[in-house]
Amino acid sequence: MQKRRMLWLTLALIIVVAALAGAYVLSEDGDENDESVDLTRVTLFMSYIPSVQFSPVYVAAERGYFEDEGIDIRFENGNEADGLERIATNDLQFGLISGEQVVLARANQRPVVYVFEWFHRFPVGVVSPIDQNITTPADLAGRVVGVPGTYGASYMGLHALLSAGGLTEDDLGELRSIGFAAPDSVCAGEVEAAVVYIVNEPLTIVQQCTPVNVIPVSDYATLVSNGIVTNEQTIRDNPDLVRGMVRAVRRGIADAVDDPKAAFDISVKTYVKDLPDDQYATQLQVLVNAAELWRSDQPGMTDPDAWTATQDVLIETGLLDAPLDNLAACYDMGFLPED
Amino acid sequence: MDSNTYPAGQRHRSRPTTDTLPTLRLPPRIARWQWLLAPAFGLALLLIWEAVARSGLYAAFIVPSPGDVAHRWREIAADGSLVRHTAVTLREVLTGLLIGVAAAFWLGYLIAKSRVVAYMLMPYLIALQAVPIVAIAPLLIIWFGPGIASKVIICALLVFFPMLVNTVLGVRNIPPELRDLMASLEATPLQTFWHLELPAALPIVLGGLKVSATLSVIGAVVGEFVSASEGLGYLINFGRGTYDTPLVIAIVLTLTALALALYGLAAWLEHLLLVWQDAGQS
Repeated sequence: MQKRRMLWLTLALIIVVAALAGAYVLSEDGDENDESVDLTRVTLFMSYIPSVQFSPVYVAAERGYFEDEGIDIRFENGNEADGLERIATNDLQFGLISGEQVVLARANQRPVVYVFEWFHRFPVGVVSPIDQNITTPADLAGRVVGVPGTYGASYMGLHALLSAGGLTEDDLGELRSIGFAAPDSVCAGEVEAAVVYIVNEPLTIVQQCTPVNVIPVSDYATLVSNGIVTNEQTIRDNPDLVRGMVRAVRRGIADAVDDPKAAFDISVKTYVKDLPDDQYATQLQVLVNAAELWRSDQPGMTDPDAWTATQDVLIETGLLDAPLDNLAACYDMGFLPED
Repeated sequence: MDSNTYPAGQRHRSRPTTDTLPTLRLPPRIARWQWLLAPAFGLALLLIWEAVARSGLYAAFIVPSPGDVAHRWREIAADGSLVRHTAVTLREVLTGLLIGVAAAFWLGYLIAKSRVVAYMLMPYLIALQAVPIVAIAPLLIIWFGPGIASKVIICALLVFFPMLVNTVLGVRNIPPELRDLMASLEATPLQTFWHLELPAALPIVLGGLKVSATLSVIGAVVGEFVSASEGLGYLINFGRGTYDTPLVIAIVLTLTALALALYGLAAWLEHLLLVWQDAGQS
């Protein structure tokens, strides 16, 4: 008898929990619908974690540039390759992705398309403690160099630098995979130089241990950098959405370049809330450094020669077996505003 | 005194509790085909996979066919990269397993024997187990460098707890009457360990070893995921970074085979070391 009562009680509890969960889910859906009346919900994927380096889109969101285009914008951060896979499957429609990833993805049948160049200079470089006296690519000969992994933008940037210095990977003392811990590895003396993202990691190293020399890849090679990527289905089914995204992001970048401090304030107020106060000065400098890489006479426009150069480096590194049949299909500049 | 002095009833009692999977009796008409069951299930899974790949529901880059994966596997086997990377991972796995299991066994023995040590250490050991290994792996790479040491430590940390718990359980479960018997025979602590505690705890300890063996593969791969130039975890990262889905699946299957092989090895070791128990039961 008692067993049966327990059974009924358990059953009742399950029903109550299920009902509450259902009500919660429905209320969430309701909220979404309320918010996005006449707006198309779009999630913009970006790599890494929320950061002031993404402040142009935060500015565009805060100032209503996305809404002006009929877009209810959301942001998501994570692993770049995973994000691009989701764009390829149309699970997501837009992402801020590195150009060489688009070449690799298209070489592997992913129908992704680069529609707006955000970074006009390749943001990767080699950093080394100043006492190592590494100031040109040729100085890397015989050195222990750290790289996040033997793939991705960092590895490709290193190869571009080595080529510029008349070197190959074999000329290095050692190429060591150190993950995304370049500042720690450099400061601990585990590597003599490291391939880094130049807008923030050199600053971190200076803060942590030593003054540094930086060799930006963009001083020696023109490679395709990060930009807004979508997929062929979105371009086919909703070209106006692509056009709207491009316009909104472009306005955000223009604002952030014009007034990095305002962009920084918007970012830390709403989107990078966990940033400690003592990091504000450094992160503002990161944003100022990044803004220099965004400047261009033709915002958003990509250089076809940069795509060829990128493909060449990918082939040289062995990440790509052969040139793509149609490299120009990697990008489509038809969504840029005409002004 | 040898292990044959161990009472038969005890042999019978301890064995079933140690098996990771209980021994099931099949009806006689199925029993003769028992060896076919697992391969048949595997074949069914393969057919379902092939059907999904061919259905057109998913693009080939999302769900490559088993044939595509096998082809990629053959490619990396032929160019030597599979053997090279597997050897790296195996070295990390076996070193980490050895260190983790040995440390856990001795610490577990100490905890089982001394309540003071148990009260002092157990809260910290449980807390250590609660730390998500993926969260501390990047720190371990920074502290111990991107070489083999950090991967071995991650591996050892992951295999440590199941082995520790099983050792404590195994040693504490020894019936007091057997301890009384050893005392009445005036056995030294070493004799008690060698002739009673080790053989009596071994079935449960080896159960822990089987769990640890499979976990050790995960440990090495977690380390290689964070930072590595070689190893199967690196190869998965490489496959993700170059949008080579067949390579990723081929390596995942290789890792599964590696974990199964290690489990099999531990099970074989168990069979080898506990043959006296089976003899006792028969």
